[in-house]
Amino acid sequence: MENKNIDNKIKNLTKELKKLNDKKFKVMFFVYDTKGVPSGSLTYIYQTAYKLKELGYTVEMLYAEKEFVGVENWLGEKYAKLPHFNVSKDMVNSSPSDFLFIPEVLADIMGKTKTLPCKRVVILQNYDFMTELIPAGVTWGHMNIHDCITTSQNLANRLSEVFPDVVTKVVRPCVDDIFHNDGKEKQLIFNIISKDQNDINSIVKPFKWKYPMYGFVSFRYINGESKETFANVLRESVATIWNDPFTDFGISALEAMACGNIIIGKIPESEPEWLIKDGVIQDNGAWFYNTKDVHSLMASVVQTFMQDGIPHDIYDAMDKTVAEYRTDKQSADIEEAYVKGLFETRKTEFEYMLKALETYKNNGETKEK
Amino acid sequence: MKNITIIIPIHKYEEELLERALKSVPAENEEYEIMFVGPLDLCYKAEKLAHKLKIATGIVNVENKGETDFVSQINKAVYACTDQYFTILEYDDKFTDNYFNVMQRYIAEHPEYSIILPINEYYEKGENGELKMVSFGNEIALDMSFVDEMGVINSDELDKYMDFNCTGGLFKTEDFISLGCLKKSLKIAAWYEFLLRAAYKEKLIHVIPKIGYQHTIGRDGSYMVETQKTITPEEGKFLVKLAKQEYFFKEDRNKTFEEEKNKKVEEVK
Repeated sequence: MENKNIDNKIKNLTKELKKLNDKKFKVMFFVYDTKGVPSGSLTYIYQTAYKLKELGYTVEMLYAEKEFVGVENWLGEKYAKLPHFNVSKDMVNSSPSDFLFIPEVLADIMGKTKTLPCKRVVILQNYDFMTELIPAGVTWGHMNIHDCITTSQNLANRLSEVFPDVVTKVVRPCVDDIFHNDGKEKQLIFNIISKDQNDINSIVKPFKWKYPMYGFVSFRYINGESKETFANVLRESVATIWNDPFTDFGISALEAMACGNIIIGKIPESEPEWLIKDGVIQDNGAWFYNTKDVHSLMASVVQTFMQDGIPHDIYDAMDKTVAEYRTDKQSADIEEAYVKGLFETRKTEFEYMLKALETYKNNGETKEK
Repeated sequence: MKNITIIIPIHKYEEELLERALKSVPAENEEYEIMFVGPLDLCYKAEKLAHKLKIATGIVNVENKGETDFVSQINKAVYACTDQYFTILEYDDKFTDNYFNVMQRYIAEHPEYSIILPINEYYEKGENGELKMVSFGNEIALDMSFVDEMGVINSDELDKYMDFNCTGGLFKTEDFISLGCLKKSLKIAAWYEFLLRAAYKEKLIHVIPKIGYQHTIGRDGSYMVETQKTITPEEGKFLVKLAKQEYFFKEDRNKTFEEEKNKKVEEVK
């Protein structure tokens, strides 16, 4: 009886291992619907999913909303065309060789999927989101989650302070190639990227009061545009005011940089690694801690731009920063973290388990003899 | 090959100011030509100074014996101009350091632009004789609440605003001539009427977001101040009205304020 069980286990495990070897296992990403509103976090997940699809894996996007709008309008068809499944309607099966990636904010999904046989991994992009839905006292470990993909070493370090047993791998966000500087002359337009539309008042009005001479400077609040429109808008402007103090990374600032915008940015609490290295603020933008300082920085950008005197050094520093987050870097990170770090490791685990089962079975048979 | 002629009208020889202006022109540069226009003796003096300062390589003097008013000087110089573009430097003004670099970039990127106007900085003399900046010029074309398309001046904008400053602007020589050049009878409204005509003929007029020209205002002896002294407020209004009527015509129809006044008197009679 026991041998029969072991045989079954060996058979199943061999089947799962074969799936892993043949790339026939599923790589599932749980996503949430933003109802057509662009989201940096979702972009990151879709970029990862698409890359894995390109590498030949079977990718599935899972969602729970009854009416799912998706990403086509703002992220584009290529991402929207990834296979999507509604977990409440479609039959979504999983097996031990499969992987399910869950965004940090969806703690309820982590709990509900606790008994699934697949490997579950959290994608952590925002530390604050992680704490949103999870009950106090409950850890990821309680929900059988021991692996995490995150966007920076800073965030990995913060996670290890609360969940030291979670193994974390870093995959950098990626600045899509659509965000590039076309080298054309810029217009004197300041974009404002901020989660709070009230920033327009606190930034624009005092600027016009303090510097009436620059009353002709135009401002544009960017929110909800498709990726193409966003890139085009950035490309024609000289600067972007970036105010996202609670972000853990700030990909939109890098996208603006990639389009040749001088970033006038409030330094986020998390101090992203592309902005502050070893405690030193980088020279890749005009940075401030206090909003009252933004106006003088804006005035100095207007003045130097109109005098055609923005130093090349700042553009060089911007290019250098963005180069660290281009598609090639993210692809390399994905290969390292997903393919080698998770899929290959899973394979090795299965091989060891198989070997152990076979040894156990052989030892049993020897004893019986 | 040269591609920009810098026209410098000389109606008076004031060496200190001219030296300041000439120093803002690229030195010994194959791409630029200086063209002094005015009475020949003044042009020669200016040329001598330019050589002394090692400014530009080609200097052409255009003699203007009779009509030394600004419009006539410019038209005469433009007809003598062989380069693709020209700009105008008044001898009491100056270009900013990057003016020529900036303009070369814009004409390379936008060969379709017929007129490129930089942002001007207006200076006036302070109490102690020092120049101080008082305002910008042409910047209204960058204000999205004023223009339909940033930097573009078309008929709608010209209908609302007339004070664009064209000295320091870069003009396509061929377009300027084909449009019929400036009209002398429009006097202080000559540039305004020309812009209206250019917009009417669908020439592209762009104000670029770069400071390119430093303009001294209210200086005694300057062409503008001297001209303004001869024009009454009534004639000023008449000239603006005239500009709005005459831009349909290529030729200068030589309408004058006197004629208008006489016509009114006749009508009253």
